[in-house]
Amino acid sequence: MTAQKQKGFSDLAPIEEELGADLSRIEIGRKSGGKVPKKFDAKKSFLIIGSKTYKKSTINSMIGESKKLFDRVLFVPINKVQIMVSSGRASLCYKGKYLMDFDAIYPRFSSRDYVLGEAVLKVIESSSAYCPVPLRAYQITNHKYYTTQVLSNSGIPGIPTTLFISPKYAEYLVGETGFPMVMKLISGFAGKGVVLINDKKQLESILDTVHLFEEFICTQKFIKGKNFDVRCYVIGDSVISVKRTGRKGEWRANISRGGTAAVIETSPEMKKIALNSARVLGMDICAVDLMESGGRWVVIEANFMPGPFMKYLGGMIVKEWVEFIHEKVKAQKQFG
Amino acid sequence: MKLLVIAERKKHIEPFLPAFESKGFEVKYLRILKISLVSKHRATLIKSLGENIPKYDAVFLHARASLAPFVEPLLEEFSSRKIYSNSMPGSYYIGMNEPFKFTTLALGNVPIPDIMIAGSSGGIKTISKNGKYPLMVKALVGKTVQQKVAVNNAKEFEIFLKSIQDNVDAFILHEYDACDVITCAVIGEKVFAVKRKLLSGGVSELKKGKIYKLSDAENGAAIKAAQTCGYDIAQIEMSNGKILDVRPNVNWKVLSEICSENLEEHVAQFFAEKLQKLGVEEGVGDEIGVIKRIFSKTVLGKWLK
Ligand SMILES: Nc1ncnc2c1ncn2[C@@H]1O[C@H](COP(=O)(O)OP(=O)(O)O)[C@@H](O)[C@H]1O
Ligand SMILES: [Mg+2]
Repeated sequence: MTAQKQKGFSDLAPIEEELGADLSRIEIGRKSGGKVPKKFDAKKSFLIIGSKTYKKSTINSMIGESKKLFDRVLFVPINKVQIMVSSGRASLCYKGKYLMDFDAIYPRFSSRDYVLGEAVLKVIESSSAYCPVPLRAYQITNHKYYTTQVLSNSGIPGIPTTLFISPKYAEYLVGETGFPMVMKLISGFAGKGVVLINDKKQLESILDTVHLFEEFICTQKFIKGKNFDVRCYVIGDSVISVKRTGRKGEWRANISRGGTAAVIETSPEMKKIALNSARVLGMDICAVDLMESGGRWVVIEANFMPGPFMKYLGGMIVKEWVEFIHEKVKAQKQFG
Repeated sequence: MKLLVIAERKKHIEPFLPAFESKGFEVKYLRILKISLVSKHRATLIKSLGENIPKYDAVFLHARASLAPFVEPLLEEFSSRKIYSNSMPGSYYIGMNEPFKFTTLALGNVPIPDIMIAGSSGGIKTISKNGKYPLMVKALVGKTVQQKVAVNNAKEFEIFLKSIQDNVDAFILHEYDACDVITCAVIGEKVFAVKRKLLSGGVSELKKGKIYKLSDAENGAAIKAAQTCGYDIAQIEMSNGKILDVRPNVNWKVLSEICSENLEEHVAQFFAEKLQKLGVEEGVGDEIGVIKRIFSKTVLGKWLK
């Protein structure tokens, strides 16, 4: 952990409020938390659990928006969360306080939060808090091939993609994608670990070194001549679409690789694909990335924790997220 | 009935082939490395060296949990095609990630030690003054346990805290009693156990273990642990009646020897019975199955038999 991140964290610390019990008086795995029936409370509370590599600007903006609508807001990065576990019980704690009595919890985990991410999501699912993203979606969306498989099997258009264990046998799969093909680390992000392979010779030389990554890889048919993709932010039933264009000479449209972003109109086809994908994966909030192939839209990947592109879109997406979660909580309080 | 045996190496599962055959299965072995998944045109294909794999009734899978990123999509395909496998979708993700495994076991009401999991040393420091000792402390880097030590008092805990490296992703602390460890193979409802004695340098190797008769509670805990993680067949470790580990790959050779049992035979038998049961329930087309189940407790149920 770098000094800078530590600082970022302590900057946010004052928003923390009294939440109840003190951990120093609790033995490991005290029988508490889990599905404890909640007292009725008209006040609305919201917990954001961030990635251990959370982006300060995004989180600050989320906290700002949240404070406008919620009575109690707490942000904790996942690596500061404690999970207390004993037979029949599992609870989340932070600095000696229980985190199980929030009305809503929004976990923003990337593939780098894998070691604790699944456990934290499992505990959240056992609580009564509203959470816009399920554990299962975390597992699937952090696996590029698995995402394509699950969506394709549900009839959502994708591009031919293959998964294998041993690069030694990858040559048998060339026919499925042809050349050029795209090779991806299954849990890569921000355009890292996505490479273009033009011919058999390049494939062979890459396969020779790929085992060094100790990561699983998948291959995908390359969509030619499109250095842009469209990110569809799904927020409940609505979709906001953003076109990302790669910088000159770059076929990958990721902002982190110098791409630019602008809001575009969502066509009915895009909306249908984005909403269906989100539903199949069980996510109320996510982003579904599309590309144009053969005159129609196909899904490239689904994002469990999409960045809000604040540089280009300002706080627009963050505001939508927080308002959506707030509406969910309001409805829950009204109708029980 | 056609059965596909999938493993990392043939030598791991060699004795299973005749065992399955003796129960009337038509068996084929496939090395997992040769399998690939292809998703296209709104469907998924399971291939072996470029050829489609024909339809099987069941799959016996023997592979380490660390292969989860390949095994999970594969299991999901088997499941959606109604091909029975000894591991359910989701089970390899559980097997591969220890914090997730313990959380899943806890929420499934399986007896486990009291555990605290944290992503930073700050998170476990609270224990030092107030914790119950002895404790077992594990440091994970990625999915692998990099350090595992028993800590007997606050002072030893301080020493441990000082030894921590920067790259640790998670800590697991659990209550710990120095005592014998039981390792067992769960095959459906049957459990075969081996006791490993606590010696001065730790628990003895599995090879040196002795056959052990489980209490009813231990037996129940082992089966429940396997089921909660999504395994019909699993290797379990426990001590003091509490589950310490669950994994999909059983050490068949050693456990068979110590228990003087033909465990391969038990597995084949389990598959035969399981498929028969699934066949009876789902056999004659799903609708009849559903109607039968709905009316099973009424006179109509008897007519439908
Ligand atoms: N099959 C493909 N054909 C053409 N371009 C692709 C393909 N897959 C990905 N890209 C481009 O590469 C970028 C990164 O790929 P993606 O799978 O989204 O990985 P990441 O998670 O790193 O963003 C995409 O935004 C898109 O511009
Ligand atoms: Mg992307």
